[in-house]
Amino acid sequence: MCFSNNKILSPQRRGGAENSYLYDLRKSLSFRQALGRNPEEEIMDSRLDTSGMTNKDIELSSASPRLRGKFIFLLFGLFLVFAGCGGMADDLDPSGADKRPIVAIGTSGTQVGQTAPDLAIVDSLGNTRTLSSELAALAPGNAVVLYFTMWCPICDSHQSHMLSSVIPAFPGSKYFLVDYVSGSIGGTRQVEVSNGYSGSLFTALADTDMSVLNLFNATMSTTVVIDSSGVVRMNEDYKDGSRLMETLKGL
Amino acid sequence: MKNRVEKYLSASLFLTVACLYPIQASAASCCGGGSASSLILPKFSQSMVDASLSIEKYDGFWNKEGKYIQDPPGSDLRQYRLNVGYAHRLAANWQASVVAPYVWNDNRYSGLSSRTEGVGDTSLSIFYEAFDSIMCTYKVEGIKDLKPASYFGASLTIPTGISPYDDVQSSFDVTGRGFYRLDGIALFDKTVYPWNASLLLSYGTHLERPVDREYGKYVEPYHKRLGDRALGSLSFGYTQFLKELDTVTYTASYSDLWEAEGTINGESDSTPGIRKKSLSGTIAYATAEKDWIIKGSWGHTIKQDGWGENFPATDTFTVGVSHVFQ
Repeated sequence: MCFSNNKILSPQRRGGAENSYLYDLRKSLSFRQALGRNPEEEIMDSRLDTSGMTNKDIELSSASPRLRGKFIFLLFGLFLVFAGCGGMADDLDPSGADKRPIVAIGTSGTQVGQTAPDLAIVDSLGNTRTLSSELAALAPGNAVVLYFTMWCPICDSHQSHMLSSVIPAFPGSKYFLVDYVSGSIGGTRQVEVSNGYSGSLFTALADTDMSVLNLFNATMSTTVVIDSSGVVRMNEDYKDGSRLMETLKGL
Repeated sequence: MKNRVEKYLSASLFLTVACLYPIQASAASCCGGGSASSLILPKFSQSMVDASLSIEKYDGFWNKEGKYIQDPPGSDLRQYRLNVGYAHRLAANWQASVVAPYVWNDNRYSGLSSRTEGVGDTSLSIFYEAFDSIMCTYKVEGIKDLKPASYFGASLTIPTGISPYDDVQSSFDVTGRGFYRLDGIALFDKTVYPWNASLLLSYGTHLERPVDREYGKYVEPYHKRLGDRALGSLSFGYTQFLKELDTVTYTASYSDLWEAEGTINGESDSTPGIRKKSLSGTIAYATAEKDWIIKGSWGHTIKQDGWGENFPATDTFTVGVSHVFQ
C-alpha cells in the first residue's frame, strides 16, 4: 500500500550500479512520502551525493567521535583500575593462604575453637530457650546448629537441603532457624508457617533485637555449630552444606 | 552530507535495538544483584551514550520446586540502579560498549532496615553486525526483505561490585556477584514497519575463582564457580509515527533465564540453580532524527507457581535516555 506509486529499483536490478544504502534510503523516503511528507523537500534538497559511499567512508567519516570514544573508554578503564585497587572490589585472586585468626582454645567467644557464651532467645511459640539448656539435653556426639535466615530463596534452598540431607544423617543434633528480620515473635511464627516450616524438624527462633546475629557476627545463611561441650565448631556460610556435614561427622 | 545520510539510514534500526536492553536479568541483593546490561549501537552510528535508572522491587520468591512464597510480612525490599553506558563503533560492522551500574540496596523488614550502596558489576561487550545495509523494510517484496539483522557478540561481566567475598558485614551490602562471566550473544531483529520482532539468545559461563573470605569472615580457602547461565528473549514491537515523524515504539517481551548449579572445589554445589520467566513492556519515544530516545519499561514476573525456581520475583521499572552521535 505504502509503495504503490513508487518506482524503486533494487541494487540487483540496477546491475549493482547503486549501492544498497542508497536503495534503503530511497525506500525510507518512499515511506515518508506515503506518510504524507514530501521527501524531495526533506532530504533530496540537501543535494546528497551518496554515490560510491561505502562502509569505510562511514567508518572514517568523523574523527572527533573516535577521539571522544577513546577518551570515554580511557575513563572507564581508569574506573576499572581504581575499582580494583581502591578497595571497591574484593580480592579476586587471594593467595590461597588460610587467614582465619588463631584463637586461644577454651576462651569465651564465637569463633571456631572458642566456647560460646550462654544466650537466651524466644522461639516462635513464645518459649524461652537457652543455649546451656539445649546443650545439656544433647547426647554426646551431637550439636546445636544455628542457621541464620531472612527467608530468602537462598535461605530456603539451604533449609530444604538440611531437611532432606543433613538432619536425617545427624538426627541427634538440634536445628534452629534464627530469624533476625521479622522483629517479633508473632512475625517469626507467621513466616515460619507461610514458608512451610511449621511442624518441621527446625525450631524457629525470634532474634527480635538481632543480639544473637551480632553475637556470632552472622548474616544470611551463616551456619553455627556448637558441640555438646559448648565449643564452636563451625561459624561460616552454609554454601553447599558439605562443611556442616563434615563438622557434624567429626564430633 | 554523508552524515546526513547516515542519520536516515541508521534511523530505522534505532528504536528496535534500543528497546531490547537490558538483556541480562538482575538478581536480588541477597543473590548478588547489580549486574549491568549491554548496549547495542544503531547501524552506521558512531557512538552512543546511555543512562537509565531502574527500581527493582522484590515481592516474594520461588523455591527450588517452583512454588511461589511471599516475603516476610512487613518487608519492603528494593534495589535502585543507575546504569551509565557508552557504545562506540570500532569498524563498519563492529561495535563495543561498556555499561557500569551504581547500586543502592534498600531493604526493610519489620525487624530491621538496611540501606547500602556501591558500584555494581560492569559489563564490556563487543558485537559483530552480520549485515551491511539496513535490514528494516516497509514492505515485503521478496525473500530478501525477510532477512533479519543479525548481531553476534560477546560480553564480559567484570566483578567491580561488592560481593559476598569482599570485606562486607552482611548480605545487604552486596552489589555484585564476585565472578567474571563471559557470555556469547546472538540477536536477530526483523522490522517490517510498523511491526518488529526480535530474538535474543545468550549463553554465559562463570570463571572459577579462589575464595578465602565470606561476608568479611576468613574461611578455609576453596575454589568456587557459579553455574552456566542462559537467556532467551522474544520481543514484538509496533512503531507509531507522530506528526513530525517522531516515533513511539511499543515493545512487549518474554524472557526466560536459567542458571545451572555451580561447583565448590570442583564438586557440584548442592544448592540448586535458578530459573526466572518474565514479561516486560517498553515504550520508547524517539525524535525524528533518531538521535535522542527516551524509554520507560516495566519488567514483571508472574507471582504464581511455576514461573521461577530459587529466585526472587520482582517488578522492575526503568526510565532512561540515550543519545546517538551520528
